[in-house]
Amino acid sequence: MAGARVRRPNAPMVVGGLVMLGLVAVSLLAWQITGDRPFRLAPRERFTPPGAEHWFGTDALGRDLFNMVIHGSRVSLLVGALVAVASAVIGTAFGLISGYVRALDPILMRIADGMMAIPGILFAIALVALFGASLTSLVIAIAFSDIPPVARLIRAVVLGTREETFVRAAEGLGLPAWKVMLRHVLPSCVAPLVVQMTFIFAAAILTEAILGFLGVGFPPTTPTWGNVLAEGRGAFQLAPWTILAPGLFLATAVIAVNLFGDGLRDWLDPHQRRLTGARA
Amino acid sequence: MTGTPDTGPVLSIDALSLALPPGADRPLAVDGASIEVRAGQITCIVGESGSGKSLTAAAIMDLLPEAVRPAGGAIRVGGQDVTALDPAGMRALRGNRVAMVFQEPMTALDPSMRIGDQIREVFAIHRPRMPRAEVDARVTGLLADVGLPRPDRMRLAWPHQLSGGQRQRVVIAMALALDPMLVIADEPTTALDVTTQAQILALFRDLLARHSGGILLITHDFGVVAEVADHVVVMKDGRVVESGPAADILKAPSHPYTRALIDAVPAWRFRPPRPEAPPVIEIRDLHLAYRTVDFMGRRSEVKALDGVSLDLARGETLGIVGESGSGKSTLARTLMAFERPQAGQVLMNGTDVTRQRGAALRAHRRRVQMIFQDPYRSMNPRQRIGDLLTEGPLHHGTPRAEAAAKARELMRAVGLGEDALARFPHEFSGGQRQRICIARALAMAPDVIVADEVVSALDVSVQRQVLELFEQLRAELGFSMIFVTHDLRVAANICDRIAVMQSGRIVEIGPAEQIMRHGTADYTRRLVASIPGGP
Repeated sequence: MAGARVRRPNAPMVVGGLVMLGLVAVSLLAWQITGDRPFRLAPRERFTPPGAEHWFGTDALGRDLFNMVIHGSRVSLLVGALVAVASAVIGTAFGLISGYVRALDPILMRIADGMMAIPGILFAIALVALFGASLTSLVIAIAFSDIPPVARLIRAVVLGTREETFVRAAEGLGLPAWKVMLRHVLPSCVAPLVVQMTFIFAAAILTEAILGFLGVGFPPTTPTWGNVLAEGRGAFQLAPWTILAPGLFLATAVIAVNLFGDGLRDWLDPHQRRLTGARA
Repeated sequence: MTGTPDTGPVLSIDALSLALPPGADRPLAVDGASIEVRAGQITCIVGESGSGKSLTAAAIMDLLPEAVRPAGGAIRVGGQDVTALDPAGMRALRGNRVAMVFQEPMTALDPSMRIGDQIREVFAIHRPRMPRAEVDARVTGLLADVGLPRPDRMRLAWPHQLSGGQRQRVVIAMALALDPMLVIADEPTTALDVTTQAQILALFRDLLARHSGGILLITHDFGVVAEVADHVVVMKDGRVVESGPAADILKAPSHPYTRALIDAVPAWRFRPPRPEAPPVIEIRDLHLAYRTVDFMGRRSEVKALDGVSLDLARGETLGIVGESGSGKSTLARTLMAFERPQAGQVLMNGTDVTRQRGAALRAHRRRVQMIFQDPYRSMNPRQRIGDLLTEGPLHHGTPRAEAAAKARELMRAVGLGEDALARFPHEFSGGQRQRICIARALAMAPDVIVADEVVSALDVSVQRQVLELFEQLRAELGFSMIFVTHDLRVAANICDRIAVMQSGRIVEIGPAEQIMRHGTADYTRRLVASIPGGP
């Protein structure tokens, strides 16, 4: 079994990962790709169908949809990443304490229940309406409803791991609770957490797009996939390409991240790792 | 040993080979094994983990794991070659002519089905036209056959209402339902207490007289072999190294491996009495009860510890023996302050540790180290052995260089090389892991070691090595030890004194030899009498 330590990543993981890398590269190089004035208005060219000049066509104001979608990916991916990290950090702290300190468990879990009872989109709309749309307020608004599921997941892993003999053994060495938690319990949480983060990442991109579509996301002047979709809504019967381009990118990103998460879960699963041992 | 007239074999395995997937530690899991079982006889396959004994049995029923492929040889049940059967033919064979009894009775029954219904299911599948009244009569008859009390009522019981031994009887009843010509029992008593084990083995022998089939029993325990086998097959690394009538093999094993296996069963050997020494731990009248509330709101209380008092002298090894549920493991956990007793004291050098918290508790744990039963689970799989050994000492303020030097020294002391320090737990075998766990405990330089069933999960030959290691380390380092075990042989081998526990009480305590040879309590005598192979 010693030779099986480095395993080959599986196909969904590679495909999803490569597509994600591509999207990130595109978003980082957005200015280089699109030139200095990506959102130049050209009323005369409004609703030009996709062609050699405008790959994805133009919108109602004659802006180039390709440029808008490329720049939109910057905001969308940033929101996705920030939401995933924020909800993972806070949710993990919640879940670790809840699972390890049994006295606090009922209190923390009732708080989590309360948070889960609030519909995520509604809460986000309310928060954005109150504080205005900024990167900070949007990330907080979207991350809020992702915290309880992460806390639940981590708590479940902790509850299982704390009963492991090796955790008992660490306590038996006279280590204080926080050391046992950080060194012996937390590492078991990493694999499920990373997988959960990829799903949150995908959902957050979608939620941000939905908020943009509903008109409570970033101001319409900021090109995001949701905003572009929202603007195309009025015209899509006339010019279907206005929603096709941002929709395709959105779907690709979400599918890629989900694929990557699925593959990663299989790859990290220790049970799969031991499949090949001989039994007798 | 029954004297049945010599009919044709019910099972004959002829030069069976099973191939492992490429990359396994050997190409063939089973290499040309030939085994015969005759009607009315018990054939035992004996071997250690990895010997291929369970795979051989699985091959008969075509229950091999996917990665393992047959690579030659023939298996004939009652003269019919079963390797060539199609799936339908195999289903007809299973349960009908060949039945299996598994090791773990706790999981071999469907928890959501009354046991009578589970046995009836066998008839429903293989004898669909049998009238209901006849099925009911057969089910009741089978339950009586395997010695379950009040079979008419027992039919309605749920699996969780039965003890481990009772469940194993139900599993055996299911196996016997269609009067198969061959019953395969894979370690059927390993998960059971020693008194229950003796009853189940007696049941197997008793059943041979009334049912016509033969039994293929797989075990790692030569005690079991001595108790029931007519015929013995010894396997090692996939090969049959020796086979023959049980009496011959037990008395005069010809192959060195068989001899080693028989010798590895701990001998009845007692230590000389120790001089008086002051106690390092004094346990005073411990009470600990687990309270449960069932779904009707009824409260019940299980007394895990019911007034336990004993002393552990400095340098002494005290054995705690008893069956599952006797409270012996609870006692071990209480010493570590993993559990808090409701009443009583554990005095360590005069201070009570049962009420300690925080820093005082951690200081106590430093001086008392526990070694656990399952070496596979008691190490963090993500931690290198070096970190594992130095974590405790570093936390308690030992300088890093000193802790590392100590870790290297300990690795040599437990018979592993220094290169082990850079490796991860999964790279070691069970016996090696248990050595590492012992080293981890010793790294803390404890006054007392609490060993909870530390050799139960190991093969006999490995068990013997670990016991010898304890012996040697104790002579060098002079720690005191509480040795919890269900295995009286092991206890007799390593302990100065033995305390026998039953239902949370100590029924007898005294020097090992006195307990084993001249026990006064009924329960002690019953335990000693039920050791397979006898004292």
